[in-house]
Amino acid sequence: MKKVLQVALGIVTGIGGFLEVGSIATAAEAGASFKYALLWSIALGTICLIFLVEMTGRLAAISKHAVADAVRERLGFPFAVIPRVAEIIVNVMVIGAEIGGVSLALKFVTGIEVRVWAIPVTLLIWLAIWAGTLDFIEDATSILGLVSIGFVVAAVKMHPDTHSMLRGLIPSAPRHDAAHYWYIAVGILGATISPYMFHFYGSGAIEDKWGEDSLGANKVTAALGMSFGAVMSVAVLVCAALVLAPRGIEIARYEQAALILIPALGRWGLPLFAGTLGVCCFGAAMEVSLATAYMVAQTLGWNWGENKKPDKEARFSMTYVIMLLLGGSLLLTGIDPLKLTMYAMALTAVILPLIVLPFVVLLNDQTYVHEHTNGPIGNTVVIVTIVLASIVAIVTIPLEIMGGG
Amino acid sequence: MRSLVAVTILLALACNKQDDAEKLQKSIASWKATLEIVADARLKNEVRNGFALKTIDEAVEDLEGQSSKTTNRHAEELIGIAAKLRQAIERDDKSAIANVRGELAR
Repeated sequence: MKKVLQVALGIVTGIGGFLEVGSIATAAEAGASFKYALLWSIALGTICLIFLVEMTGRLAAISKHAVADAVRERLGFPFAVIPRVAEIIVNVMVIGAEIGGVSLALKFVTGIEVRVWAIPVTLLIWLAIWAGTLDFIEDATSILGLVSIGFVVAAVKMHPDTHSMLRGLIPSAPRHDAAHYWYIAVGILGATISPYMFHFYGSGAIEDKWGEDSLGANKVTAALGMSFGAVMSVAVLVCAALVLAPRGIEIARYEQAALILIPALGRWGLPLFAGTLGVCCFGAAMEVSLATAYMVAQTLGWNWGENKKPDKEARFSMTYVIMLLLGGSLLLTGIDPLKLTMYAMALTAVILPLIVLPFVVLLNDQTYVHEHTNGPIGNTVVIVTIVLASIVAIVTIPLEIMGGG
Repeated sequence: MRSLVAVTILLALACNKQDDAEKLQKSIASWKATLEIVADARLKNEVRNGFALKTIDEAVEDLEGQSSKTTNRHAEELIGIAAKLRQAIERDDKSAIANVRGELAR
């Protein structure tokens, strides 16, 4: 019974916790600019994510090591520092984008500018992490995040053409704006394969004391949770493809994305969009901040744990406070939250090989996972996807910036 | 060699100019359609005044930013219509909103 509950909670976490500012922005841009043509990138990213999340849980359950911890131990501190520094830089941008997402949701409801909301939202996120436990953060994020099912309802109500959707699952060359197409594709991959999820999931597994008997539940949670979660991203893309693309609307501001639920849900459309954006970004901001604290503490060999009182883990707690402050400060500079989100997601794709390749080495090392090493399919899918995503991101980011983003 | 560099720079500038004009054209179409949805939604009370006004402001800001690089009559026209829509929404005047909606469709 306990295992069933664990799996059920994992699936709810997958559904409720999957959407965040990056997946909403990239999926909406993809649907508005290229209709269903980029559905394949959500599918590819999700398959890769399922493998990686499963590997993270397996590493934690068998070796009792989280990713950052094991990379430092196996490959040495000087090597471990490089990917972690890259992750910290990207995570500051991602936290800024998530705080921006919550602030935008509040702006849609109140009309008060994003910059005004940045500080109160940052403080509220800090308070939730400071006072809450890991279970509270996971459960609240997942259950409130179920509001995102509204996107699926809207997509179904608008009767999308299933044949066109299925065609979109096959990668194809774009008919126009090739640089923008590939830029959004890598953005989707960056938003889907978020490295913070590995630190959060793996460290959570250790805090929850997973053992070898958790491997089955881990597999089911990774596969079903992430697949159901991906349905939410697909729904955002479909809504944008049906509402924005036929009218020639390309998303330059979040206000345009916020219109995608109105034709299907009427006066509920905007509050539901704002609610989903706010709740999902709030949860993601907590998770990215905590994940960074886990990662830094594990790399530097500090004590860590969200279930302990903050004063018992002062350096761990201080790390997420600093991350939140840095992320929140980005918004005070007046940066466009949509551009910040898109750059953060594309940069995530650039750094993926730095983070994932060392981690895949561990999953093929019997010292850590005994007889539970990776199979050839998992290794191939993960390595090919992240290396390709990184190369395409390195090529398209300068093109996108030169083109004015 | 110098002339080759000069020609290259001129060509690059020309391409960039064309890109800006093309981008602005797309933006005009995109914001026009956005304002149509906003006007429709306001007529049906599907969005609040505040959200509609903010969206209009974003449209004007974006179009003005892009028009500063390259002049365009259509952009100026749309900015004018956006101003009318803004006033109609501020007054909560449904018939005026409907009139501006008609103007947008033309």
